[in-house]
Amino acid sequence: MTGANPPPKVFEEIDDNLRKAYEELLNEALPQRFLDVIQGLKDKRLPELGPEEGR
Amino acid sequence: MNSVDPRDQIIGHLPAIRAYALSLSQDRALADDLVQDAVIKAWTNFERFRPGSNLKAWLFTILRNLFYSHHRRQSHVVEDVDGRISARLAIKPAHDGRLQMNDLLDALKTLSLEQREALILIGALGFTYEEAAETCQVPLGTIKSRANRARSQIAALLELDETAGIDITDAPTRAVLSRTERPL
Repeated sequence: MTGANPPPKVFEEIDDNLRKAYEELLNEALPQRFLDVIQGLKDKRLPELGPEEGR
Repeated sequence: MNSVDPRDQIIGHLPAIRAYALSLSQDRALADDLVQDAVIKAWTNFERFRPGSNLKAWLFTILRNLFYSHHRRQSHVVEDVDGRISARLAIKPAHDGRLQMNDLLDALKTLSLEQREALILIGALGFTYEEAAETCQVPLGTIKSRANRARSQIAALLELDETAGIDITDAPTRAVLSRTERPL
C-alpha cells in the first residue's frame, strides 16, 4: 500500500491522550505476587506448566 | 558462578503486559491472574522463544492467547459497569481534564475487543503496527484498519474534528496554552 494519507491530527491526539491515561498504570509498582512467582520459578519451587493452559 | 538468565528480561515487560491485560479484561483481578499465568507459561516454555526475535510481542501474544481462551469459556464479557477501570486510569486531577479523560476512556469501552486492543497496543503502549500485527497474529493491513476504525469511532463519539482536537491537559500544560494563541 503506497501513498497513504497521514493520520488526521485528531488521531494523533487520541493516541497521545491514551498514552497519558496509561502512564500512571505503567509506573505502578508490580504486585508482589508477580515477583513471588518469578522467584519461585527461579528457585524451581513452582510447578512448570506445559503448553496447556494453567487454569 | 552467575550467568545472565535471558528470562530475567520478562519482568521488565510486566507493567505493559498488565496494562494490556486490564484493557482486554476490564477486570483487575482477572488481569492479574492472566499476567501471572503468562509469566509462568513464558518462563517454563522459554525454549520456544526464538533468540533475537521480539520478546515483547512474544510475551504479549502469550497473554492475549490466555485472555481469549478465558473469554471463549465465559458466556459474557465483564464490562467496567461501575467505572473501576476508568477510575484507575483517570489521572488528571483538574475537573475539565478528568471529564474529558473519562469521556475518552468511556469511548474506549464502546469499541469492539479487536479494535480496542489494536488501539491500546499502538496508541497507548507504543507498539509499532508491525509489533501489534505480530501480537494479534493478523496481517499488517488488518491491524492498521482496526486501529484507524477505533480512532474514527472515538473521534465520532467525542465529536472531535481537526479544528477542535482534544483539550486534555494537566495544569502546567494549561498554563502554557493560556499564554499561547491556538490557531483555528
